[in-house]
Amino acid sequence: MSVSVQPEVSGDVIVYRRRRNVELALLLFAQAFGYGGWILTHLNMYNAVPDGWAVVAGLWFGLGLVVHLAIRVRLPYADPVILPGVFLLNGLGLAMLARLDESYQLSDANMQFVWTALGAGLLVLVAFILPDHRRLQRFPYLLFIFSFVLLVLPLTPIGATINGARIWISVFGFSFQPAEIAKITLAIAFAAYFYEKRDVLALAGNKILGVRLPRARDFIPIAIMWGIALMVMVFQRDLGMSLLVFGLFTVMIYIATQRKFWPILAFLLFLVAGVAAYYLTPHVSTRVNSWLDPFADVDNNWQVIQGQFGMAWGGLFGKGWGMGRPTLTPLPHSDFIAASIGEELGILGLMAVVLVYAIIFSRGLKAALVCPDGFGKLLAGGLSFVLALQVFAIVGGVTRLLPLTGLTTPFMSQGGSAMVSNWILVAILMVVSHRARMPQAATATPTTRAELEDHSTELIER
Amino acid sequence: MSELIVSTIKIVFLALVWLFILFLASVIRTDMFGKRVPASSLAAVPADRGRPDNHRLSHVPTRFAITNGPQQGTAVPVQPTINLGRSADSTLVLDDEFASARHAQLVQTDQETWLVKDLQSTNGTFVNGKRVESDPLPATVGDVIRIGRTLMRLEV
Repeated sequence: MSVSVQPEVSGDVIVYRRRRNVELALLLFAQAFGYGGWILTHLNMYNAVPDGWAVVAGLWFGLGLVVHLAIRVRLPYADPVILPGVFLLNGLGLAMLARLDESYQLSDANMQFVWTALGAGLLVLVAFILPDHRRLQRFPYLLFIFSFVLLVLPLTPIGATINGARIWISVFGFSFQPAEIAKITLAIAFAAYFYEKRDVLALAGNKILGVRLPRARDFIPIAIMWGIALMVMVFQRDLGMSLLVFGLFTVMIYIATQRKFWPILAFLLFLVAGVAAYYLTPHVSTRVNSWLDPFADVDNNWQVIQGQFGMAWGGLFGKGWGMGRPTLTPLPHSDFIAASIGEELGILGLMAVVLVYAIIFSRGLKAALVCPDGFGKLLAGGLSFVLALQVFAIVGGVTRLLPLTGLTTPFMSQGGSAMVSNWILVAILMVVSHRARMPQAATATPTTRAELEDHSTELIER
Repeated sequence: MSELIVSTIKIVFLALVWLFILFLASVIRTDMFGKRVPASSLAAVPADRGRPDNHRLSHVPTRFAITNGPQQGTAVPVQPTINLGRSADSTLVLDDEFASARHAQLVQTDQETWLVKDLQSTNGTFVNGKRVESDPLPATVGDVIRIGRTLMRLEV
């Protein structure tokens, strides 16, 4: 019994390479697009390089370097593709906001850069304080309560009504959307709860009409928490966020139980709720009508129509940075930033953006597949889905594939709360992928020869 | 700037964006399968967790840790009696399909040794690959206890 006795490990194991240098190269390349877009805007509009080009370059590339160094130190095995993708999207978003500032004579992009730096700082913070995502697994109920508090905050006196929806709080002159943080805490809480209960949810319970329903005592707690979250959002008329939480819940229960029944049920529920909302609320029916037939009511659907014209005018290659007129569309910097991109970078640019989102999503799913523990799988799957659903809903809404819902374009549209929360989301994804890809000390089956012999004798004995 | 330069820069910009996407795709492609290495080349973490030499002489365990399996990295401080199993009142709750509710018990005999007792579990408890039968087996720092797919050991 010496100290050095270890189980023998047999066979080959797969080790992922760290690829941090590849990440750095990709990161600098990705950041160059945001910076280049900003420079090109000024060249195209004023025929001159903007003032303070050196300072901006230092700040922007410096931010990337800081994040990269933190990843190199704390999460050396994290996926090398996620961070450059995020910086590409964020850079294009910032450049587009700066370009819109030129038309509006505003300086929103500066504030957005501060939010970006804050978000990137939070990624660094998560990398340092959360070495292992399994720590998040401990408190599902506390996280539910925390999410609930966040969701209810706008209804308290510190809440503020902006654009008809009471989903904001204002603190020290800053307005913040707590539901954006709640979407992450809810994802963690769902993952923790479903990981704990996945077997009983999938296997225990009575069969009704050929479908095995979970027992009430396993299903009721999560249903209550989900129902409360959804009701608060519907009450606040936060259509997009309630859709997001509904989708997240469905995907998580599907991943956890692997029962096709859940997505089918969710789809039917969604149809029923959608039809009911169409007939009962003016809010939803306006959205649906402006999706199906925007030209029937030009005054009400001005935004959708202008977005369409903008993208059509942009065509295949776009008008070029600063050469289009995205300001003709209302809200070109938040909801319709995808239309602004489509107008100035063309369908080629917009498709590239969508593809980068898809790559980030696929890397999140890859982390979920590789991750050895079930909680990490659920968490990475759920968080990637949150990201993908946001992009699908808003880009689909802008391009009139779907009715428009008020979700943000992650990392691009103006808004601090969404920016910060999406950076935290990516940070958790990177922690999971770091854990998933790092070589496990003895991942291979540690069967010693003695043990094998032991088993065979045992079988003969029987 | 002239129309021609604007258009050229515009197209070069888009071409570079797509080149970037191709780079991402190529990184993903080379990342697909990872590197195949013999498992023995991966240094297993020593039971003393890399403590400096002057501490290594001590064989008194301070914690009981899961070194492999879904819960890898979980550890509890050592106690005179350590209960292992899926039930919530265990000292270390195992999340392993092959573990019974009350699977095994470790009882301290002296400062460095615990006796591993199998509580008539379905799939058995193994100490260094040897199945624990009706007689408990001793375990100390460096011995590997296996339940199902979970490997555990006492660590300094």
